[in-house]
Amino acid sequence: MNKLHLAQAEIFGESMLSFEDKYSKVNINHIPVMITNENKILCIPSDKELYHIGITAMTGKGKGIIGNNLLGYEYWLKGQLCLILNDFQQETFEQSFPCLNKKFIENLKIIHSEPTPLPIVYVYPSNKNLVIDETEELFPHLKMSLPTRALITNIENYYKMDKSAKYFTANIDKFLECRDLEEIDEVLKEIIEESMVDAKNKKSLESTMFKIKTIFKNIFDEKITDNSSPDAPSFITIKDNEGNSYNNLVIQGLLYAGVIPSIQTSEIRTKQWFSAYMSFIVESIYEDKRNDYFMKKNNLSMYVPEIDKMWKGENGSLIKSSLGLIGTNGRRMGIGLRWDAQDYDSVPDSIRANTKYLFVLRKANSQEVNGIKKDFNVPNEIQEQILGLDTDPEKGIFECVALTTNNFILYNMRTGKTETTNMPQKGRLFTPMSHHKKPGIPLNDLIGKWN
Amino acid sequence: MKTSIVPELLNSNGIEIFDDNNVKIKICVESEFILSGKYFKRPYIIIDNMETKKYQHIEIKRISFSDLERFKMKLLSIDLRSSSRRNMKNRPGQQKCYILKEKNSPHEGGTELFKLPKDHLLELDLTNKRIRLRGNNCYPYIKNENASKWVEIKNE
Repeated sequence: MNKLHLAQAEIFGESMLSFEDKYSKVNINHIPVMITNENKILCIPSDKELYHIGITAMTGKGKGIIGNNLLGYEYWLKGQLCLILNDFQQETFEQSFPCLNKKFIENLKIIHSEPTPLPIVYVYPSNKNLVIDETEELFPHLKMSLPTRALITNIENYYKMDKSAKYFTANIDKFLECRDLEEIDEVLKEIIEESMVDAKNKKSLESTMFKIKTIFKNIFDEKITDNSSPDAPSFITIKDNEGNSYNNLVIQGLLYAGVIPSIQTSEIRTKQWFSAYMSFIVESIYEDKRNDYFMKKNNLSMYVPEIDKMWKGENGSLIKSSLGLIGTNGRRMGIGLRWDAQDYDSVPDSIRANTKYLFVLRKANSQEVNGIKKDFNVPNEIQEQILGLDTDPEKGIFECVALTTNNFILYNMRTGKTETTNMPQKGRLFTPMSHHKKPGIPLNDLIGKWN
Repeated sequence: MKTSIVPELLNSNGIEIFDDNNVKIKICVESEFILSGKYFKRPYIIIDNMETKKYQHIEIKRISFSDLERFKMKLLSIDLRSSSRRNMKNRPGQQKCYILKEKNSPHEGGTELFKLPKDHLLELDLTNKRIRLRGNNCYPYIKNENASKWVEIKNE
């Protein structure tokens, strides 16, 4: 502001000021989440350090709205690597579009934000039942398979094994070279011949080999590995126009390419190997954060919608443990979990204890708030507010309580000044820049609406 | 029929994807366009510069009861059941209120507390060096903030 004009204005009034003197633009440099009841813009600090963020509410109350909003600003504003680990309900296709909802666009105008799409690539884990819908094919997509070595090395995570396990692990290198069941059969015959057992034990050994063959038949039939799904790579190489080349698993490769992978898990969530498969993905990322030159130098936001449902199936402890590892060590490794759950109490302590920001939308009863109350030291008045939060998607209204054990940044809407606070804040969410799925509206309806 | 910006994004950086046999993988239609640098617009607000002169950056944090000793302050509980104290009530039926005072000031009929009352908390404004109590029974009560007025810290 011109100092002379300011001095004149102090004497003669604000009419001495030009428009440029009177008004200034204040950029929002942190992640805007909501506008508080005291008319301040609440943001998550855009620090280099990544903290875990949690979202919890009853079903249909807007958990996805916050997730979609965070994803947009983390990708575009922070330039962060982002991954959607499980799109259980195929809700992320709409996010490829810029926001097309009039009420939501009105909400964006509060902070002069604009409808902006997300560059999402839809990743389908290969399996025998996989069918990609005609509409889904219009979106960028890729089939992905599990490296055979990864499956065989951890075979007991995928299939129940008894004493046959010892023959598996002892001959793993031979099995890895097999391309089909005939070759497996040959290896098994060799094992029997080399074993030099007597006739009685030979029969028992043959029975064990038959079990191993059955397991391999299941592996090939399931079509989840790269040797049984030739059209679904497990590794990809990314090349760019500067002559750089990067080879890694599909998810890491897509992150290098600058897109947001969204793993489509609706078809595989009931499979017996789902937990082991997802655990492999998470742990490969964790290992690469330690060893891979690209992953090491870039922070990653890992979005896990419906995290409490990830471990509900068979062998659920595997994925629960892997995500727990990210919970405890993620911050140090540069991986930030962005999780949402209906049932806050079912999220393991290793994740809850390291979640520094929690957004709470409407909850059904005070029991559901107990865990939150304890972890974030919430006073009773806030608990009562949580039970009465309003949600009206038609009007773009999503009331929320924001809690932290760290700090929020608050922008004063009148002065543009910032303050930090660790106090609970109540307010209304900002709607996302990308389109958000509206229940009952099929994806088809959006096609052609984006010019 | 546009469904994604991925084609433009990949084209912007000349990104190509290959499988282990060095066969090119096509994940989307190819685009001849690239993403412009200003595809995303940073959010902002417009402020009235004349307002900024009235405010400064403030930082507020929650403090524990034991910190009151450090700031030479105390918390008094006042019984509101007598008729002379009715005007101190925030709501009908309120039986007591809590007041922040300097350590050496008189009790004025109140009882000193040695722990924070239930559902109340203390806030410290680091910038302006003042403290207040938040909760239903604080006094003097500011309704829309559910807090008392700020009390300046004189000695630290």
